[in-house]
Amino acid sequence: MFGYEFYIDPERCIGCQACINACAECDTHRGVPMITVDYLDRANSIATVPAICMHCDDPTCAEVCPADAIKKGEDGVVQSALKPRCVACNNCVLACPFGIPKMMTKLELMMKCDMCYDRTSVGKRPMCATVCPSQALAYVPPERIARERREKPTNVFQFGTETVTTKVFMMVPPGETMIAVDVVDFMWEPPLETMP
Amino acid sequence: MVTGQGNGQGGREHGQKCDQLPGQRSISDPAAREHVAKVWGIRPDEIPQAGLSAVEIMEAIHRGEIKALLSICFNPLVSLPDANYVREALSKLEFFGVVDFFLSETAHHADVVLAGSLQEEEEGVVGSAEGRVIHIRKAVDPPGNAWTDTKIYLELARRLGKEKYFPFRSNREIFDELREASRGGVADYSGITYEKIDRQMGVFWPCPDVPGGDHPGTPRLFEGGRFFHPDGKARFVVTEWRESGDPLADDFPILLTTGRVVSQYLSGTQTRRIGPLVDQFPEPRVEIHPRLAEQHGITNGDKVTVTTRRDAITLPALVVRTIRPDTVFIAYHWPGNRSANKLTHRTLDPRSKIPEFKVSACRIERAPGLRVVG
Repeated sequence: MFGYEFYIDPERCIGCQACINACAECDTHRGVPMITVDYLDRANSIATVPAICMHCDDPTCAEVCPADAIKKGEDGVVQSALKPRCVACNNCVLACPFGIPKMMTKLELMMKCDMCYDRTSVGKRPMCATVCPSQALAYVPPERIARERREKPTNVFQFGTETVTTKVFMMVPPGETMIAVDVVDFMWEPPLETMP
Repeated sequence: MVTGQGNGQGGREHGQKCDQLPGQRSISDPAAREHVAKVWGIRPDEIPQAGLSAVEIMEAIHRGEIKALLSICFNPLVSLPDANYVREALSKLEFFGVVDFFLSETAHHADVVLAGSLQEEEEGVVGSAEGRVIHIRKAVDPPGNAWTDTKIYLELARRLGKEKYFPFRSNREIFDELREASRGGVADYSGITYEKIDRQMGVFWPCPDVPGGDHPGTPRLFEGGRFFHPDGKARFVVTEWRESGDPLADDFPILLTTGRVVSQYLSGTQTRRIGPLVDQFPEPRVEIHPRLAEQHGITNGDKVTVTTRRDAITLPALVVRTIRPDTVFIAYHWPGNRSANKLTHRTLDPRSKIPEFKVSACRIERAPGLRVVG
């Protein structure tokens, strides 16, 4: 929108959580951040990763919603659930390939990142991207990313046999064209030494 | 040297370190003393000789050579090594004044505390780590009876009968004097104006005051391939290894290193008061490699007592592979019985006078008490 796109580069994330605090200051959902920052595996690494809604071109969350509470606009932004419609069924929470929607049980409402629609729809940058000190979260023109980053943006994700394309871009090493995730790679298995 | 603190670089360029004069000049250089004395309207011999570094000040208090101290936004009880020694020094002072924006642990020892201001409460300039001069705008007034720092020092000068040397009506006038004082120095600010800072999103020094006033500053030093040494060449400096002032021994066989966590800033006077930052890292943990932890029967979250030749503190363990197996790490932002600097020692680098925060000798043992989960 307005010539800007959203780029995430987890490699740049320093885990400061400034994005979380900035997000929680928004008047539309004050005190409740719509972004998470997690250690991937603190026992072995200091790597942290921020997660926002990727705004899928064909959003699974909306596809599985029985109440048609999740709307995607012409601009590609997938909105948070509409309060009058959401029945708090958790379908979207379970279906999202990126694990983004969160059920606010007390409100009986799913809430998620809407790319700061109140801001980005009028040409402002999302809160998280304005405060990110390392620009792991960057909301900039595509030409600027091409000029300033060694990594290349991709918005193609392969989950097993399913291809998901998104509005938000993830930075990948030069030469890569997509991010492929095979769920088997992440299934738990017992450590080798304890196997019979 | 790359600095970590806001304005750590700017302060270092202009005499916050008390062997310096503005413009990154040496206080022992006669020509520099003459230039700066002229700007300040005093005689060169009225400028004192090099003073003491922070740890040396504490040692001089112990020796009885310093009896009164005015401390400005400084929390040595948390940030200096050997915190117990610092506490003894502070209680030995006959007069101790503190200017700070919150009542720090150090301020608890003060006879007089003057409520100063945060960066958001006063307009002025700072120098960033990259040598860029930045204009900080005031966003809010200092609350209650707090004053801007400038107001405090101008009033102090007036009460000491020195107001003729401090005729400033604004922070900009102080900056204009600093520009003059830095003129011709390595960190030459003389061509830097508020307007130029705003226009260029900051100005990199050196920025001399050339005719026409249009010097853009120097975003990258030494681009012409000429360095500050008289022959214009850069030099590799060979540093001779020497033993730490707190060497490993049979009863202290493990290295202790201290540092920071991302959600806390310096001695925590600001950040330990901000809820979300405290939630992110509520207390220091002892980072231990699984191999070392196993030797001592420690699992993640267990209470661990770390003992050095100074003192011992007990904190929960964080068992991770992101630390060397011969070293434990504790972040230093906290006071009291969670203070890593109770464990560190006062050995200084002979040139920079930076303490050996990164190298102490310690031993660890599992302590009784509930395990911290998470």
